[in-house]
Amino acid sequence: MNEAAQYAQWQHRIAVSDDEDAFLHLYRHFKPRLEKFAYSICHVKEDAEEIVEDVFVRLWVKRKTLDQVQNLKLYLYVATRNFSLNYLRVNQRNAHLVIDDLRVEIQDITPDPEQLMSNAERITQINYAIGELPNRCKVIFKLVKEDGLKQREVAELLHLSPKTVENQLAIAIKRLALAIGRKTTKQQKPSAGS
Amino acid sequence: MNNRVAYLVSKKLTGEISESELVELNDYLIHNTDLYETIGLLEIAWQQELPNGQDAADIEKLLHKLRGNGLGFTAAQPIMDLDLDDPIPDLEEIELRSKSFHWLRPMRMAAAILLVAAASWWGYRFLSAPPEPNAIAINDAVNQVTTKPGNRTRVVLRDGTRVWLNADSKLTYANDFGGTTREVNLTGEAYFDVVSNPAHPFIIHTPRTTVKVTGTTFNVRDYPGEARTETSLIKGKVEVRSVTQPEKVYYLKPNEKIVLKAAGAGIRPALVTKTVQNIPIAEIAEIVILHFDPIDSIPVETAWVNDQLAFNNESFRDIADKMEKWYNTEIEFAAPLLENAHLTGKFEKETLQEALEALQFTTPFRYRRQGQTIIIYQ
Repeated sequence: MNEAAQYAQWQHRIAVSDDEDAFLHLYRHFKPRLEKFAYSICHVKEDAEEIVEDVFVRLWVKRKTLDQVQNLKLYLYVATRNFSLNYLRVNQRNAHLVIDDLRVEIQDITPDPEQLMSNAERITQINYAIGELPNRCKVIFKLVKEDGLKQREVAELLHLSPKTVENQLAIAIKRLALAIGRKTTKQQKPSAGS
Repeated sequence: MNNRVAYLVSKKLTGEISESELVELNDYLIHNTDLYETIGLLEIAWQQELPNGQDAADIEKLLHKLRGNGLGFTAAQPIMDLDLDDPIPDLEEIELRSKSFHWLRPMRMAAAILLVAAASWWGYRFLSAPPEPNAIAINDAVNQVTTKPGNRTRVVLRDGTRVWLNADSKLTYANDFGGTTREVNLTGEAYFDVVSNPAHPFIIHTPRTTVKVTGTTFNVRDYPGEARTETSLIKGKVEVRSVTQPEKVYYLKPNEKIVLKAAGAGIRPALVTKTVQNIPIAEIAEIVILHFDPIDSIPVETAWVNDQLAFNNESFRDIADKMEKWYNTEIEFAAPLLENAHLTGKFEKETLQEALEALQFTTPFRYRRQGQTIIIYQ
């Protein structure tokens, strides 16, 4: 079963048979990333936690209508966005989504030892380059890479045009490629011995 | 990397690339092989999974909200027991499954690296593409990738699998590759980075072996005419069979290599093999641990992928075989004893002459050029 099929199954079980197990699986699956997304908007860790809990409480309350949701994953992100903006409104802050205000942390890449073998130095360079991405670029990169959202989903979530998302992502890739190419040239001495 | 390529790469990474865009990207990469490494690293970076929160205490807070509000949420059983006898698979399992279904995200999959090597190359060079006994579906095989001596190349197959082809090697595959089957024929040496698809295992037929990959990324190498074949696995799972004894299946663990050779093989009869096509193997199977270079941690067996000619305690004859392919030359020994001297070394940018001179430091020998041939003598 792939990811989308798994989501659909959970969704159906929650909607049709009030399946609490499915609901809690869904929650555990999405909690970390939704909290990060909420945090990127509200900037307070405890509040982000609260927001995501509220999203799921609402989801449970409205579970009978859940079967009508086309894209559960995007639905959860949009709900988290709305709850977060609502939180900002309550706290008398700007309640519009301003991408440049989003705060994201991208997890360092730590590949398997085998993959790391000859690449340690350049993985470090990639991590550094990711950290140096312009914020807008970084937000989009994060949602696509870490959250696994489709580019058009990111566009919808952040109220951007699909073209903008595509361009920003291409910029990110280009910068990372550049960072990789910037390799330190080590002089390899021949070692001959029996 | 220009903007268009960056766009295509980003689409590929997110699994949103269209058929025509994939073709466009692959076409571009075939002519810009220097980008392979960069894209490979990007894929490694991209595959990084986030840990999923599994903390029961976190759930408790949500449960408290749900229970306390008369929302019809019972959650009778203790949270810690959730996964017991639960028909819903664990999240880890789902992650794994989703990985294997995302064929457009090759690097999300576990990687298996496999290397098959074979020994003498002369025999092969003088062959005029004889029918390979072990070839499959070759009748309608219209796709062929070949390398000349001294050259190496890289290709992307239709399923996204990447293949590094070492010098003087040949890779063929049927026109319907990637449809219901994923089988290729290889003569020579190649390193495979195979996109996982459990429904369609990737099978490599070499003249003397069959290598089946059940994992995802691997590397295969095989030169006929040599007295032995080698299959080296860096990561993942492979099954190796010899053509002569297909009932025997060898499974390799990561960082192991299997050497298949004929009993008594080792010293190659100097002249005979020039006409021998496929020396029978598989009488002796030997599984050994790969030798990693202590400096850069690359196994000697796959160093060529990184443009290095490396060898570890190998006979001068075997090394000469490698150098012939690497430098597009021929090396003959006027002093048979030297053939069995064992040497270790690594070359990257050195010319043939520099390489020979470096070897002279540790093993006294002399050499002279005779046309295209290097003669090694005492």
